[in-house]
Parts: sequence; structure tokens; C-alpha cells
Amino acid sequence: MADSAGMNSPHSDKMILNLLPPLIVSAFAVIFLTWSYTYDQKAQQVPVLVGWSLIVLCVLDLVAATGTALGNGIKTFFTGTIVGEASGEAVAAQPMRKVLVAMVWPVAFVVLVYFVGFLISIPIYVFTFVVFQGRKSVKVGAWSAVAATAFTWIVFSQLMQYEVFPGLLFGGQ
Amino acid sequence: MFESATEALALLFTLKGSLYLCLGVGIGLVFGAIPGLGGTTAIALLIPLTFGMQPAEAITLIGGVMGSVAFGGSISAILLNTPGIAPNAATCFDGFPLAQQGKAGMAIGAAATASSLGGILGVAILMAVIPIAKEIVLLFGPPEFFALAILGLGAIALSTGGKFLRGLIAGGVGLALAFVGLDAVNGGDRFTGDVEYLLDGVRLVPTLTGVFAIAEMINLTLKGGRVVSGDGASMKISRVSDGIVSVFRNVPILLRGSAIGAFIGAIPGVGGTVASFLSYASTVQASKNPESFGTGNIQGVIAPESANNAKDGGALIPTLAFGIPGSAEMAIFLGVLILHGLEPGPMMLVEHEGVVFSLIVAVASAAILASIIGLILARWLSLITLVDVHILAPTVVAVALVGVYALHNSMGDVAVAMIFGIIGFLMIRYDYPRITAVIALVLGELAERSYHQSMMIGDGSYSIFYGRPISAVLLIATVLIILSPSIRGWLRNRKREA
Repeated sequence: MADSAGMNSPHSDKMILNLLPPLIVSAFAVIFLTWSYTYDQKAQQVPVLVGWSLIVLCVLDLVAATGTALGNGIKTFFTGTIVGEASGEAVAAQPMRKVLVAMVWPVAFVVLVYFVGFLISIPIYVFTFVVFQGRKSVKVGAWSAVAATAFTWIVFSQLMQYEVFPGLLFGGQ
Repeated sequence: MFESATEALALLFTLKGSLYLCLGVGIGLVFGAIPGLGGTTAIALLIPLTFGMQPAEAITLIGGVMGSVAFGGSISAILLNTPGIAPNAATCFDGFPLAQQGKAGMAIGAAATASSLGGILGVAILMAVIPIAKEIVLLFGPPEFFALAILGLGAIALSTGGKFLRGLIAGGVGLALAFVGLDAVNGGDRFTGDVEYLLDGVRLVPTLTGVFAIAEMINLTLKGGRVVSGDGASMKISRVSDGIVSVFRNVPILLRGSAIGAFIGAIPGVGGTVASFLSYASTVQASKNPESFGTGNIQGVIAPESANNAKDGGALIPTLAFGIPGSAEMAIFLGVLILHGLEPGPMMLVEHEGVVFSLIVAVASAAILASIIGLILARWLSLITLVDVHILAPTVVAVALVGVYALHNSMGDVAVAMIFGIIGFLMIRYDYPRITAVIALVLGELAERSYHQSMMIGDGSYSIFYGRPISAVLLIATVLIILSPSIRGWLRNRKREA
């Protein structure tokens, strides 16, 4: 029972979350390495080197994430603050549901573009995002949608004469 | 020579000349600022416009674009953490934190000044080097290219600071992605899974747009509020003049950045991204306060911006002197030259001296003009950091994805941008440095190709790398760069103990 309770403690949840990214990258590295070996000697030479290096680095990262004495030693060796990247901690504190919603918005936009094209999707996406995600008034949403669509149409379609994807339903391929 | 330079200047002061230059600068700024477009697209689009022009006029128009694109890209890098073009990614590191602190005006002022001075210095280096360009460029063979690519990858270690391990992992993933597509040595396809789209490899522009623009917008959506941290009501946009002054207080950084930019730009296939990062990394390394980088140090804006614009002068050396384009932008520019009956090569300077000087004057003037426009608009542009992110995010995502699609009329590119947007966001969330993956993606193919070519030249012996002086020096520099954080820490500890 004690073990079971420990497994569900915030500490163990945090550790699982810490282990997840290096595990995913490790899986990627293993697939990449296995795939590399399917090519001829010359074509596989550099990818194999990169694949093995990546696996070693992922193992180090995994051990560092366990919080054991060895892991802490590795952390100390590679410790410090990053140059040029904001810490992810502030974002990591957000609830998972909120994070998923934030990621779903642009994905939904791309799916919509695929079917009905940019010039129809942009006003729908901008309006719904501003009103529902941003909780702004309908008026602000409408103005934002009109501005974004007008900018796209004037700059891309009219000034640059680009063919803006019309969507599968309207003849796009 | 003096006569040609005077004629080129005179053209610039005619109504037509200044009109073409302004048009080029305007287009360059817009194409630079919109993620996914960039100078290559701008020049490609302008080619039909130049059909009816005199060669010098066409070159003035194209020179205007070339001289201004880099600064256009730095505006979106500073204000939105979204590099307009790949070389502006290094500007995000300190430019965006400055914008978050309400110092966007200062950052844009510094970027504008460093860009214009870097552009002028790059052109000055071009003029000085043209007579001996052949000897310099011919010193670089595959072993030197390999060593240079490794040096660029070594900068990864430095730019990740203490997050060395995850920086290396991200770099490894970037390298793995760089091998997707047609194998540069054998010509066979690798890691494509029979997907035709991937034969061209993982395209850089959609990847960059995803990793930076889309990822950043997802991140901002979660954070809410404005780009500027803190209470918007009390936020002031700092004075642009502070940024201008800061450049003159950091002249050694400007000079070093310009020299790195011109040198790297002159080497075909390496490009502005590496130049900006090497300049940034060398500034961090030389600083007495390296921890301040990434938190809004103005030197972190000056270093990449000066290199980014100086690289154009350098890139023109192999393009004009040998007809070897150093980048996609230069390849299209080469097309413009040929279209107008100008054959690049060693004789170009002799036979078409006037055109060469028109180009030099146009690039230098464009850099200055773009900066002046940027400085005038900086205060207003900075206001974008005060816009609510829930209005900004969907607009930036929409415009960036239209730009990505427009590049090759490919929804595949849009999908790639989206996938890398999610990956980039997860990298922010779990503290994997995004930029190391991008540098590795840029340099992976060059490193592998040069490695195989070198091994062929050296009959399979590794002595080809350390037996040639330039290659050996570059490799030693790489080792020093990789070890520098540890050496610095060791020296600091010794100092403390003493």
C-alpha cells in the first residue's frame, strides 16, 4: 500500500514526467539507428555514428532524470543555465488540458485549411480563437478576423500574385 | 575603378535609381519580416520585373532586396521571437527577452545600427578582397568544409550554455533529420519511408517556421497577456537611441561580427545562419558575463546582426569572382546576372566593373536605408509587443503558414511546419534547446558530404583533416570552443580558491 501511495505521489508523477522526454527521444534514436543499418556501408556510416551517439546521450539524460546519486552527478557535470532559451518551467506548470487545447488550435486550423483553403479558414480560425480562447468580444474577434484575412489576401494574392491554397473542396490539390 | 564607383553613386541619385533602391528595400523588409518568405523568394519574384531594365538598374533593385532582408527578419525575431529568415534565429536569443522587458525599441535600434554598419563593413571587405579572392576561396576544399561544419556544430555546445546534455541531444536529432532525403554521396534515398515529399529532405523554412513561429505562438497562448511581461499599463517602449548608442559602445563586437559574417559568407554552402551563430557564440565566449546572454543582453543582438548583414558582402565574392553561388539567394541572383548578359567569373570585374560597383553601392545603401526606415518605425513596431497574444497568436500562425505554403505551393510544407510547431513547443516545455537542432539540420548534409569527399581524397586516411593547415586550425578551434565552458569554470574555481 505504501508503495502504491508512493507511486502516485506528486514526486513520482514529476519523475515520470521528467523521464518521458528522454524515453521518447531514446525510442526515436533506436528507430533511427535500426533504420540506418538497412543502408549500404557508405550511406550508413555517418548516420550510425550519430545514432549511437544519440543513444549514449539519451541514456545519460535518462539517468540524470532519475534523481539518484549517479543521476545527480551527471546533472552536476552538465549543470548551468541555458543561453538563449527561456526555461520551460512556467509552461510546465500549466494543466495538461490547457496545454492540449493550445496545441489543438493550430492543428485544427491546418485541417480546416486542407479542406476549405486559407481564405475561408483564416477568418473562421481567427474569429473563434479570439472569441473562445481569448474570451474577447465578438466585435474584437470580427475585426481581428477581417484584418488577418485582408492582410493575407492583399499581400499574398494581390501584391505577390501567389496562388493561396483554395482547399480540397474548392479544387485544391 | 574610381570612375565606376562614381557612376554607380550617380545612378543611385537619379530618380529611377533611388526609386528602384527604395522599392527593393521595401520588398526586402516585408519579405524578411514575414516568416517563411525571405530574400530568395523576393529575388525570384522580382526577376520578371527586371526584364526591361538596364543591368545596373536591375542590380540596384536586387541589391536593395539583398541589403534589407536581414534587417526585416530581425524585426519579427525581436518582437515575436519568430525569425523572419533562418539567420535571424540567433537574434531571438537576446532580442526577444529585451522586447519582453519593454526594451523592443532599444533592441530594434541596436539591430538596425549593427545591420547597416555590418552591411557596410561587409561590402568594404568585399572590395578589399576581390583582387585576391581567387587564392582565398581555392584554399577551401572538402576537409576545410568538413572542419568548418564541425566548428559550426561545436558552437552548439557553447550556445546551450549549461544545458549541454540536452543541447547535444537536440543537435543529434537535428543531424538525424538532416540525413532524410537523397543521399549526397550515393544518390539513393534514405529515411524517407517511400514518401515522395521527403526526397528533398526536411525543408528548412517550414521547419524553422514551425520550431520558432508556431511553437512560440502556442507558448504565448498558454502564458496569455502580452509579449511584454508585467503590467502593460506601466510598460514603456524604451528609446531607440539607446540601441544606437549601445552599438558604438560595443565596436569590437561589431567588428568581430562583421569579419565573421564576411568570412563565413564567402565560403559557399555555409551561409548566414552559421555566421550569425558563430558571431553570437564568440561574443558569449569572449564576455566577462556570459550568464547575462539569453536574458536580454544587447551585445547578443549586435553580434548576430552585424554578421548577418556583413555576410552578403562576403557571399558576393565567390558569386561574382567564380560564378559559384554560396546560397540559394545567390544562385537566383546569379540567374539575374546571366539574364542580363553578365557572365560572373574572374573577368567580370574587368569587363563589367560598373555593374559590380552598382551592386556594391546598392547593397551598402540598402543596408543604410533599411536601417533608417527601421529606426523611424521602431517605436510603432514595438507597440506590437503590447497587443494581446490572443489576437496576435492566430494572426501570426495564419500568416506564417500562408508564407510557408507560398514557397513551394505545397501543403506538405504546411504539415511539416505544424508538426515541427508541436515538437518545438514540447522542446520549450521540456527544456530542450531548439536552436541546436536547427544548426545541426543546416550543417548535417554539408558535414556528411565533405567527410566522404575528404576520405576519398585522403584514400581513407584521417590525416587529411589534420594534415592541412586551415582544416587543422578549424578543428583545434572547435575543440577549444567545446571545452571552453569547462575551462572557464575551472579557471573561475581556481580564482575563487586563490
